[in-house]
Amino acid sequence: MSDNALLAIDQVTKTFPWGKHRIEAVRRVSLSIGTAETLGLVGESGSGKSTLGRLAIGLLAPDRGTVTVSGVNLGAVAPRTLRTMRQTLQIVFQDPGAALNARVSVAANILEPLVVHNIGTRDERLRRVGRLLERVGLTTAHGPAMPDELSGGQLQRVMIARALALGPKLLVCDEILSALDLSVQAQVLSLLDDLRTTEDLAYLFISHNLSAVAYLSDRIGVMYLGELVEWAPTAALVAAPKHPYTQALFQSILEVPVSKAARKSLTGIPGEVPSAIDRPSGCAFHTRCPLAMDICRQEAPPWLTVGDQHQAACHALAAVEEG
Amino acid sequence: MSALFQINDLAVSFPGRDQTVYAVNGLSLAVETGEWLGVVGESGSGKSVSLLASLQLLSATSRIDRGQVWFDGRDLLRLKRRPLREILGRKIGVIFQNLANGLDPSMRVGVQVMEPMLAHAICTKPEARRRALDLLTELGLSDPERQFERYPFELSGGMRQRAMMAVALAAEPALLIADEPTTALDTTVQLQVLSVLQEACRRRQMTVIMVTHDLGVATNVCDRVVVMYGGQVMENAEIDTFIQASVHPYTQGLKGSMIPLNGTHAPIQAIEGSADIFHQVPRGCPFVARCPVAFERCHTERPRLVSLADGHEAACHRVEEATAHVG
Repeated sequence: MSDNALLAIDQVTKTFPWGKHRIEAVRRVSLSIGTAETLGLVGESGSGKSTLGRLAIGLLAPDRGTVTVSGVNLGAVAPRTLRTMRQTLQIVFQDPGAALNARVSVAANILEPLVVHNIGTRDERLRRVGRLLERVGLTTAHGPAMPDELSGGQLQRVMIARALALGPKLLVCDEILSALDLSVQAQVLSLLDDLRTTEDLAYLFISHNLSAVAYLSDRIGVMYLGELVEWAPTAALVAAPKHPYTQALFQSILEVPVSKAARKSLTGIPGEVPSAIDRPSGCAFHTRCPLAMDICRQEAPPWLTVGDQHQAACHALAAVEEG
Repeated sequence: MSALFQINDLAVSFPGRDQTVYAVNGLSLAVETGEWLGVVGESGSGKSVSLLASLQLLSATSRIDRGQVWFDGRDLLRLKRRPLREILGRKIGVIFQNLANGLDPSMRVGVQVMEPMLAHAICTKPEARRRALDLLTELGLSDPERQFERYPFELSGGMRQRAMMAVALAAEPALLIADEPTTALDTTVQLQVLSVLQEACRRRQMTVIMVTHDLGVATNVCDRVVVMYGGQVMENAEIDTFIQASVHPYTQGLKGSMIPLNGTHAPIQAIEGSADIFHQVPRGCPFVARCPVAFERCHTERPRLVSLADGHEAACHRVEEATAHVG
């Protein structure tokens, strides 16, 4: 992990109360994001990726481990400093309809963070809102509109404009494509791609959609039941996923075949993601893994380096390596 | 024509206080016995609305303006409640996208799977119980005896979707209408559910109409695809033609909007804008506002669905003019 990382998450665990017990939503996760870098997090429901996104920008505090932004530990700063730091850390959620204030105009929604952080004069703020609207592919004409007059894709653009208002360094995108149609997903993805270069933005791009994650990200982390199981540069992961779970994720993507005859069979791994309340022992994936051995039920798997900046946590891979 | 189920010139609208939404505007489609038909399009294209309307399953806020839906020699839109009930669940099974809508939360799963068999007097209660357990086993519910006694909320998403499929298949219907049956599921679970659904339908030689927004799903399980926009058919093609030789600009746009999974970073050729909502019946082509190759005629005249080859139709003035020149 480099010292000049924009974001460094080190051995972070987050638990939530569940009756008399606590469940681990995120478990001993470490990762880092450099300036203007895009890290993708992919995983199914219950993988802890959204919790990790909230931990990354200080919306949640970890039980153990540290979250460091530009060298500053978010858990050790005064609330006032944290508030200032939050200007550089923004998040966009899946459902823009729920995240925007439906009673005020689009422009007022985008203006709000500028008012809260007391930035600029009234005129300066209004000019900035106009620029932001154009920046995300809308026009100043959309400013006076009420949120319910816009389509889902346009609302997601408004959310992005609002997140950009304070000039963040890191934007967490939590399943922001999920509610959108195919054509609109592609439009928003292209917008994020543009903004990365023009705004010097780093992204933590969280999605269950492996294709979207692979399209946008420089590096990808794969999560399963609160843990990272593999991380790699995108090209390496797409070319040769190593962890059996990552392989299963790739296999489960149905792409358009070249012909009816060339369809692949609809076979994948069995079962569903277990509940974090009843976390399997050893490697959490062993209940569904085609390669599971005795040791997988007993011991947590070691991290192995399987390529350049490419690591996976798996006993079966370790066994192969030892020959 | 040996169509098992046929929609003719269906129009459905939602009258509102201020304005009316015209959701389905003259839709015609047919599915042959034994065929697996995919109905694809974006949200708002009218794909779910038209199929729900064809079974009289839409809410009272909707209005069927015209059309017929032929099944078993009868027009389903003209049927009263009782004769319709004898068909729904018995001869036509339905699976909904929304997990919450498909199952009764207050009834045990097994009882719900038995219900269609008992309601249609197909067999005795002990026999229905035995068949329900067989069906749950066939659809891949682990520990079916235990799942039988559970309530829907006690099942995982994938298991609930399998249970809903069991209810739909319980009376061995000839036709299954599945509205986004796997959309809400995780991808690894989606693959399992599609696989057992395909197997179960094949074994029964069932005819299937599957509504989906996912071209990957449609092209991997369907025999033929109908592409909808603005409540009309834009293109209708056998799967190989759909994959290799589709012609409609909307179909091309949908394909171009797919995000490739090959590690490259080529720009995505997405369709501009988002699906239109029509407050008037579209006069010309419904896709005109987003179409990259639209011309004057597209604004004023509705394109007819023209046959291009055996089993391949498209509704597009550009395509029609191009083929007319060739012919």
